[in-house]
Amino acid sequence: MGASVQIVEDNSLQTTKDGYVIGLRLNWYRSLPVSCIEKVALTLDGQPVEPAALRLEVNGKQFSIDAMEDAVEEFWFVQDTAWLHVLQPGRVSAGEAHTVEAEVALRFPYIMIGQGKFLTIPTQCTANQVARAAAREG
Amino acid sequence: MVMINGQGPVLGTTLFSLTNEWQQRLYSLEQMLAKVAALGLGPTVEVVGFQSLREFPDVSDTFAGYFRDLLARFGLTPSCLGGNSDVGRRKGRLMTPDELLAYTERQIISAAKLGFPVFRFQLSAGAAMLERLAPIGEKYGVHIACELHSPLAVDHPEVVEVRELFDRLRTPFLGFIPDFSTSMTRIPDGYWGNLRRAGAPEGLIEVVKEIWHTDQPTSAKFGALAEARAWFGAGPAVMGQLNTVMTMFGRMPLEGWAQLLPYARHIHGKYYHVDESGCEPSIPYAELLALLKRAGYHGTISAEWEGQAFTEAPIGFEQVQRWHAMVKRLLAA
Repeated sequence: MGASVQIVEDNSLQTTKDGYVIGLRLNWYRSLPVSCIEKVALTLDGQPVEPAALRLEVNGKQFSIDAMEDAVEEFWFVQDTAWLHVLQPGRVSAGEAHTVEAEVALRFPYIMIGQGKFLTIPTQCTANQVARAAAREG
Repeated sequence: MVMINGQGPVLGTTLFSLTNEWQQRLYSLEQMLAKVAALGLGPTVEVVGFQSLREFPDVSDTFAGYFRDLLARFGLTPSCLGGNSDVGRRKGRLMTPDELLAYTERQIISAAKLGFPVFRFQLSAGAAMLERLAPIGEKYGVHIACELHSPLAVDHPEVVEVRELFDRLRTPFLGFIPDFSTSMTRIPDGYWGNLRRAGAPEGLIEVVKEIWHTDQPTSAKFGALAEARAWFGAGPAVMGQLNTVMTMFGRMPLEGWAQLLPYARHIHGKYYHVDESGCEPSIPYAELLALLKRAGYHGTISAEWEGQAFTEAPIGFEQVQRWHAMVKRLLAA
């Protein structure tokens, strides 16, 4: 339920002053707190991006991978794009074609499948996109 | 409970039926409600708070006013607001009962502000939590009702425990939302498509049909399905789909409904596909609606299309139109 969108949003790769961003969509039918994002990982042209360089932007706020689990009151709304920032200035230039592979694992906090265990579903998505010039703030 | 004319069930639609359209950003909330009204898919509307409402679990006064005005403008009435028991929202530990109570009270206050008479909650919260929620529901004038869908059934231990609580407290502010998926006669065709895409051979599909139709307990069926998967050498993707078959599609005998209806505060008219001839082949709608009429049920019932489990096509409105035509025809019979 909720697989009617791909997790990598079409035509969302953009350069920023700090590096680049890619848009992510929530592939579940209801909004979830950022604390329920078990994993976000990104590969660019086959090269894994180090987690320390990633920031996830939800509701205009940016979270490092380590900070996400504490964001129990920040809800990623079903219709919204979450922007995954990569802090690698100059890594991507406007007009270039790149292959991005994203992995997102979501924990459903209301579907318990064992003592203290919740249904968690990972999704991977690969997309080829041409970067656009910085349309968003870094 | 919304009682509009006191004669039979009051029909409506849950926006959950339009999940594909919503996710694909084909409609705003206002556009979606306008179309529900224009197609005659009311008069009642159900909403899943965490799906349709950006500010949920809270709602601002500004949004509440806007929402009430929208419904009034379109001639729609709120039926049920879906909430969630997000006990696992913290990574390392469960919410404490006090934390869950506070989190749920926020959602109940939102239901009251938006005008919903019923708040859908999850049975998994347990009888002790429901007992603490009852006075909160009474304070805000919101009926708290536990969704009862497959694999839960009338004789399930968790359901029995909650029924005992209802009988002891005798409050109208607690009850059930029975769902038609508890009493299915056939597995929907769309499911076999999912199973084939996951790599299941035809022989395994035939065996799964047989196992589902048997009357052994659900736990024994899980075991039988796992054995069948191993025998046919199917992979883990198939196992995930096989567990779905037991959790989504229930086989509670229809007599169970007679015991549940006195506690019903709302009903989920679950379905997977209404075909061109106006029938849902996997759920006995004629029998279920006849039963509701005989029992004098005059509460609300939402068209709840869950075919998005099998397709990403934005066909929710078409399917909800077909449901309303089918249900009106059967209720008139």
